[in-house]
Order: sequence, then C-alpha cells, then structure tokens
Amino acid sequence: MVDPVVSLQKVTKSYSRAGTDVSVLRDLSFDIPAGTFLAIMGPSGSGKSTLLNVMAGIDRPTSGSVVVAGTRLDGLSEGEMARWRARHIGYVFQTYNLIPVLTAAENVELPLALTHLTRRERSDHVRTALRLVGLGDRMAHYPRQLSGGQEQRVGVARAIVSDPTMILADEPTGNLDRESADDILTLLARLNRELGKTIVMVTHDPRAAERAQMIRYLEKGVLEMPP
Amino acid sequence: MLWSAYSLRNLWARRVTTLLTLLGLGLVVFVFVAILMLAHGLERTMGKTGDPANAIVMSKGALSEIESSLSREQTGVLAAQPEVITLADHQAAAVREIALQLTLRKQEGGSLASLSLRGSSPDAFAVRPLVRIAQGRLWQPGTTEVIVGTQVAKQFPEARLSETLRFGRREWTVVGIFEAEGSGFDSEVWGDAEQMMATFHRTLFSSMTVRLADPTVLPAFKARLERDPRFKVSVKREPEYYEGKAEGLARLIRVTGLFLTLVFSVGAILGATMTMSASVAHRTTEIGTLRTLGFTRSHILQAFLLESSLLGLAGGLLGVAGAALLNSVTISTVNWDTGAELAFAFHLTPTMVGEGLLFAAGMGIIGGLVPAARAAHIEIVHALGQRTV
Amino acid sequence: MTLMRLMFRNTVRRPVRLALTVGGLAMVVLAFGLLRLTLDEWHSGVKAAANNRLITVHAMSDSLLLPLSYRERMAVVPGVQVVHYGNVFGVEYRDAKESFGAFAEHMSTFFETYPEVILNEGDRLAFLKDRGGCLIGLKLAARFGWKVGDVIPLKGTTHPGNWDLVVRGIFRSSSPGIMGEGELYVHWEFANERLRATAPDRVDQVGWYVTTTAPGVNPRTVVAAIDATFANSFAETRTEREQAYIAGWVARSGALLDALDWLSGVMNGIAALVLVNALAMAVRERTREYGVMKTLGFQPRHLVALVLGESLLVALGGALAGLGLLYPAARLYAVMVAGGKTVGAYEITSETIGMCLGVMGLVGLLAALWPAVRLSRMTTLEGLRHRG
Ligand SMILES: Nc1ncnc2c1ncn2[C@@H]1O[C@H](COP(=O)(O)OP(=O)(O)OP(=O)(O)O)[C@@H](O)[C@H]1O
Ligand SMILES: [Mg+2]
Repeated sequence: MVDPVVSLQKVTKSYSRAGTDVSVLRDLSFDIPAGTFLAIMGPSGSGKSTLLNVMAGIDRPTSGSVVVAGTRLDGLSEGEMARWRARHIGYVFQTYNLIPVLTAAENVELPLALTHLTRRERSDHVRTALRLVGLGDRMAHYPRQLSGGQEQRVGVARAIVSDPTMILADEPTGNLDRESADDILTLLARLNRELGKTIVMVTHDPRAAERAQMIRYLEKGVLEMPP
Repeated sequence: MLWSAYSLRNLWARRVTTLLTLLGLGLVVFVFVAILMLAHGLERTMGKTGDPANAIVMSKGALSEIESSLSREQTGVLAAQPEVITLADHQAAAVREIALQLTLRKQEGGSLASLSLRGSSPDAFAVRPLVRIAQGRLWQPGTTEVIVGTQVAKQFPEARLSETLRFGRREWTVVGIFEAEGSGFDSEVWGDAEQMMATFHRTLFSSMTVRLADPTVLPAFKARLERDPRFKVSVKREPEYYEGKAEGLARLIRVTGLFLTLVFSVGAILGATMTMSASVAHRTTEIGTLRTLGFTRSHILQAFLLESSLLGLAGGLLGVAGAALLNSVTISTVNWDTGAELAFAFHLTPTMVGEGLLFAAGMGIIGGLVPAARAAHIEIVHALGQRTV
Repeated sequence: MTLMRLMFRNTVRRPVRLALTVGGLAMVVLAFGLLRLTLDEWHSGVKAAANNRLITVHAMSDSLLLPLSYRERMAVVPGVQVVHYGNVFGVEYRDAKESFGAFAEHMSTFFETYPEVILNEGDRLAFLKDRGGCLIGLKLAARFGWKVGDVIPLKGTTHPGNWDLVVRGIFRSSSPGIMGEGELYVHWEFANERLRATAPDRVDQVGWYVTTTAPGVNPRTVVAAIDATFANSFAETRTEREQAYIAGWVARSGALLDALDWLSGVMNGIAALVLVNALAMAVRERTREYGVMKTLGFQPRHLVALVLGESLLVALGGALAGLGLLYPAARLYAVMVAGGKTVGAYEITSETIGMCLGVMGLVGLLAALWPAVRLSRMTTLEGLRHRG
C-alpha cells in the first residue's frame, strides 16, 4: 500500500459574488497515491484550475483539509506555504510563463535560487533538466527565440529542476499544436515512469488525458470516475 | 467632442500614472510661478519706492545714499533750482536726508538685521505723497522721536509703537507707524536729520530728494546739474534709483529660479513622455482598431497630443492653484545691494497665470510629441497582430 | 545570483523608459546639486573662519564707521595680539556692471592677520613699499587680464575721485571662503589721505577692526573686554568671533536660504514622482511574472528585493548622470548668477556628491515603497490572473 501524496477531506470552495454564493468545489474528498499520473477533465468553469491551485497551495479552500506531501496546508502562513511550494511542487502553466528577460537556462535555474546549492550544483541541475526535456542545445536562448513547444519544455524543465515531490500542470498542451503537445505528454509520462514523479494534469483534450494512468471528471463540484 | 472625451477617459483609465505625472508637472509649474511672483513682488516693491516726478541728488560718483555726502550749502542751492516746485507755504518741495543703518534683532532670539535709518524732516511727506502716518503721529522736529514703516513694526519687536530704541548714547521713542503702500519705505525707520547728525558727529547730509513739476522735466534737470562742474552731483529718478538697489537680489531670484525651473522642466517632460509612451504601447490594438474603422494617422496624432496637452494643462492648473496660495505672503530678507533689511511679497498677476498654464501645456505637448508620432505611425496589421501583455 | 541577474535585466528591459527615467532623475539631481552648491557657497565662509580672529564693528550698523583712535585702546586689551583694520574701498572700473570688491587695509598688519593670502615675497615687499600700489586676486587678474605692473584706472564711489593703481602683486588664497581671489586691496593710509580733500567726514575712520587673540587666550573673554572698553562712548562696538560674524550675515539672508532649501526638497519630490511612475508601470506590466515567481515558491521579500534593487539601481543611474552634468553646469551657473561680476567658487566637493547620492538613495527607497507594498499584498492567484 503506497502512502497518498495528496489527501483531500471535505474540500469546499465557493465564491460569493453580488450576494449569491457560487460553489465551485463541493465536499470533495479523495487521495492520490504516490507515483500516479492523474488527468483531470471537465467542462470549462467546472473548477479544475481551482482544484489544482488548492493542491499547489496557491489557493485556499473555503473549508476542508488538504494534506499534500505530508503537510497539512490549511495551517500554513503565506511564507510557510511559499517555502513548502518551493520544496514540493513543480508547476507547469498553460501559457508557459517564462521570464522573458532570462535565458532558458536562467529560467530553469530560477527555482534553485531558493536552495542552498552551490553554483556548480545548480548549473549541473539545470543542464540535466534541460537535457531531459531535449533542449540541452538551447540553454542560452531567450524565450522569444523558442517555439511554443520548446517554451513549454523549458517550463517543464523549470518544474522538475528542484526535484519536487509532485508536478502540477494546468492545461500544459492547451496552447500547442498536436506534435508539440505529444512531445510534452511523452515527456510527462517519462517523468512519471522513469523518475516516479506524481503528476496531476488538468486538460480539455481527451487524447492528452489518455496518456495518464488515471482520469477523473470534475463536474458540478464533484469528482467522478469516467463514464 | 467625442475625441476629447476619448482623451479624457484614457487619462482617467490610467489614473495612478496620470496622477503621478500631474503632480510632477504641477510641482514644476508651482516653482516656476512662485519664482515669477517673488521676482515681480520685489520689483514692484522697489518700483513703488519713490515717485517718478522726484529726483534724488547725490554726490558725484556715489552709488548709494550711504556713500554720498552733500554739504548744507549744496543742499540749499539745490533746493533753490527753478525746476523744483514750491509748496503752498512758498517752501521748495525738497528734503535733505542722512542715510544710516541700525542693527536690530528680528523676533526674539532671531538673527540680527540692519534697517535703513533715515534722518529726514517733515518735508519728506510733501515730497513723497504716498507715505502716510497709519498709527500714532509724526516725530516732533528737534527731538529724538522716530517713526517706523509697517514692515519694521511687524518684523522687529524692539521697534513697535511706544518702544524705545537705544543708539548713539541716546534714547529714541517710536511715536508713529507709517504706511507706504508696500514700497521699500515700509522697511525703513525715519527720524529727525539734525538730531541724528548731532548724535553721529556728522556735518554732511547724504542725499537730497526734490519734487519736480512733472516726470518729463527730469531728464533736462539731470543733464543740467550733472554737466555743471559747480554742483559735483549725480541725479537719478527716485524709483529708478531704488530699483537699481535691488538688482542683485532680483537677478539671483530670477536666474536661480529660472535655471532650476528649466532644468527640472526637462525632468517633467521626460516623465510626461514616459507616461504617454506607456499609454501608446498599451493601446496598440486599440489604435489598430481605430485605424481599421477609418481614422487617419493625423486623427491618432491629434488624439494623443490632445491627451498630453490636457495632462499638461491639468498639471498647470494644479501648480498655479498652489502658487496662488502664496500670493501676498511676505518675505523679509537682507538686500545685498544696501545691506539693509527689505520686505517684499509674492505677487500673482493674470499674465503669470497664463504663462504658467502655457508653460504646462507646452511641457505636456513636447512630452507627448514623440509617443504621439509613434502611435500615428503604427502599421494596422502589426497593431492588430500584437497582443497586449 | 539568478535574482541579481533578473534584477539587472528587469532594469534595462525597457531601454527607452529607462533612458527617460534616468534622464528625468539626472535633471533633478542636476538642479538639486546646483542648489546645494549655492547653499554651500553661502556657508563656506562660516566653515573657513579662523578661530583666533575677532571682528569689531559699529554696534549700530556695519555700515557705520569707527574712529581710528580705537586702535590704541584695543591694542591694550588683555589677550589681543594684533590689531588690524580696514574699510570698504568702493570703486567702479569702466562702468558699474564691471565693479568688483575692493578694500583698503592697514597693510603692516594685513599679512599676519590673514595668513590665507599666498603671495611671493618679492611682490609682497614691492607692494608694501609702494603706497599707491594694489594687490589683486588671481581670479580678478584672470577676469581682466591684468598683470603685475599694469595700471588700473578706477573711479571711486566711497572714496571719491579717480584712482590709477599699479598692480604690485597677484595673490592666491588658501581658503577662498574667507579670502576671495576676486578682490582688490589698497593701502588704507593712502585711501584715507585723499579723503581729507574729498570727504572730510570720513577721514581717520575705519569700517572694521580685526584683532587676533594670543594663543591660549579664550576669545570669548577678549570679545567681552573689547566691547566693555567702548561701552558708553558715542560709537559703541559689537565684537564677534569671525565665524559668528559671518554666520550672522548668512542668517540675514535666512528667508532666501530657507526658500532655496525648501525648493531642493520640492525637487526631490519631483524625482520621487518620476521614479514611482516608472516603477509602478514596470511592476504593473510584470505582475504575471511576479505571480509565476510566487508559484515557484518565492516569498514576498524576494519580490520586494527585486523591485527595491531595481529602484535603487535606476536612482543611482540618475544620480551618476546628474553628477556628470553637474560639472559643466556648475561652471555655467556660476557665471550666470554673478552676471559676469565675480566668478564664484561653486566647487563640487565630495560632500555635494555624497549628498546627491544619499538623497537619490532615499528617493529610490521611497519610490519602491508603494510598488513593494502592492506586490506583497498581491496573492499568487491575483498575480497569475493579471492581464496586462
Ligand atoms: N476570484 C473569483 N471570484 C469569483 N469567481 C471565481 C473566481 N475565480 C474563479 N471563479 C469561478 O470559479 C469557477 C471555476 O473556475 P476555474 O478557473 O477553476 O475553472 P476551470 O475548470 O479551470 O475552467 P477552464 O477549463 O475554462 O480553465 C468559474 O465558474 C469561475 O467563474
Ligand atoms: Mg482552468
């Protein structure tokens, strides 16, 4: 029996707007075992990003408890949360979100600025991560000199460089053509298989979801097995 | 109409940046107008000191009253000149005076300051009709009574009405306060010339001021006296003499002030350019859309220039309004040309309001020029293709 | 390391805006520097004053004269070493616009009273020998191209008549705040002699006495003793230590100096506004990036450091550019203020530089305050959701 990396208990998230409560997540309870590659699907506005952000510790639920990588998140302060995130979470954005003034290598190195690694160790880590995503020869390129697919691979390299407990990806292929998307998905699958990373990926694309070990649907605030 | 609404709304949409830029422009305009007000106030004070129909006669070569000396006989001859008008009592409208200075303490514990001390006679009031007694009375000739100008009474507690001043081993009682319409006389102390000469062992007067029939007589009077080797005097129109006595101060205020204004108006212009550039960059897509709708390059240019001049004008209004608060605030400081204390006030004129606003709008337009031109030259395809992040 | 790099890259990210901001700040620093120089110029005399010199003037006013006979009575006041005296020697050269400061001084005590005067021994002796000669400062000599041996034709104002003075020496000063190099000096006795015919009222009177105190004597007691000597005589005296005397004159212009001080404050306000504006724009544009960094685990203090560093960097750039401009501008300004009269010193000291840098550092700090507060208040999600 593998310990769950993520464990949600009765998680509720609602927004009150103009007096009426819109509830996005309702009494959500589930575990994600370590080493899982999970895909979350669901209609637009169903709360997929919200759920992911709650797990990533960049959003807080209205009620319920969230335990990720052995830490209960509800009690943490903003600062503790940030430190925790730096240690355990690698996040991949739909829109890559690379810093335009930094090169590929520097973008990947950014999270390492929060560690106590030496300069050598850092550059080793960066080279390894970029080689892993197949961009060992693009270290000195700026984001604007890369294609969308390459940018996203740098994004993935940045997410794994600090060796986090899990990788969260919000529609990582949403802005990519089929071929680039396949590259990224292959990469994620490899990370899961070879390095044993736990991955949670939100996606709209059924073909992308197929690459995961497990698919869940989020609808009306409730997580369900695929039909 | 729609166009200016467009410009205004855009300024409002980025109100933080707009406000910061406005404040910057406003501060520059404030300083600019304040300096004009101060320099003008000083010149006004000096220009009002004396009457254009009066001539001040000093010994040849002397640059100021304090350096000048005229003997009793000389003053007698001078008063008898035909150009000098006679008063109702058949006396010549002439006053011979001795210029001295008196050091007093400004406020309690304040710095020392010198005051112009004028040994005069009651004739002074006939020669200078703008001066009148505001409180108390005139000094009694032949006594050690003095009267002081309104600014002196205000700035120097030791020289208030009924106070007694001590100098030259004698006591001088302040028996009156005179008012001279904000002119330099307001910063002087007047008393009996004969008493002061006796006190300071002087036999010579400093200067003589005579009243002529009208201002146009003066040039001929001056030419005649200065050419005549028997007199050995120089003649100046009274207000012109006093104006000349504040040149150093006026120049410092103008030069320092305007030099600094110039320098940091460049700073404010750059600030405006920055703001407008950001505004243009931000609205590239919008500009493309407007151009697609059929607006010409010149429309775009106008809209941005209008926006930047509105920015300038608003800043100008802010600055001028701030400066207006200074109006009539009095500054009292040493006049380096005489070494004596002089009070003068900030003075706002409608021209300055205009100049301030023009200056502000100018800064706005100059600052907006480059960004507006850039906006006008954006290619439609390029503009629409570009995402604004 | 990476953060440092990111800070630098962010700073130069928008070169046009950076240039405008640095340019704007440089202008403000320039203006501020000029003001400080003006104020320094004013206070320079106070700093340069000698500790052992006392100035005695007429108690009623500096512009009134004291009898020459006070000289002997001062010399016997305990603690007094040398009694020196002088007068203003008001002259015009060609016309009023070209006038300069000139003084008639008692030359047998002048050089020991003012060791600041630097003059070669040959010229000094030649000048002491020629009663009708004059001594001019280096700057004055340079202004009119005068050389030793030239005859300067002057028209007297305080001392009526025409004066043709032979230049006997050109001096430099070790302390321009006290002894300027733009002035002319003549023998007091020579100037006094001619007054007998032209202005008998002013013969044998002096504008000021300068006494030096003996070493080890408390100048305060001497000050009191001199004034006590002349109390109740018809010309009472006011004696002060040189420093206090000069400070008193500076204080008389207090209202103007206050205004200038105040103006330099306003200027820093303008600098802060320019910088806040630029920073606010930059931070707004990069909000998403800051959100991303927060997602990666960066703390608010990291982001604040980024913004603060950028702010300080730009402020420093502005300060350096402004100081670079200050050198040529100070020269131009000195000429303009003087209206061609005397060229003031307007020396840029390390103090001026330090002041400019310090103030800009403060401006940089203040300007970063608001963007920094905004950034630390911003939640990660807000950052990520931000649309430019
Ligand atoms: N700050 C907010 N205030 C109010 N409502 C919000 C806020 N943030 C999100 N929501 C609402 O929460 C719901 C879920 O949003 P979320 O972004 O999680 O959806 P999603 O499933 O990721 O959609 P998509 O597939 O379009 O990305 C939406 O209906 C949205 O309107
Ligand atoms: Mg989403």
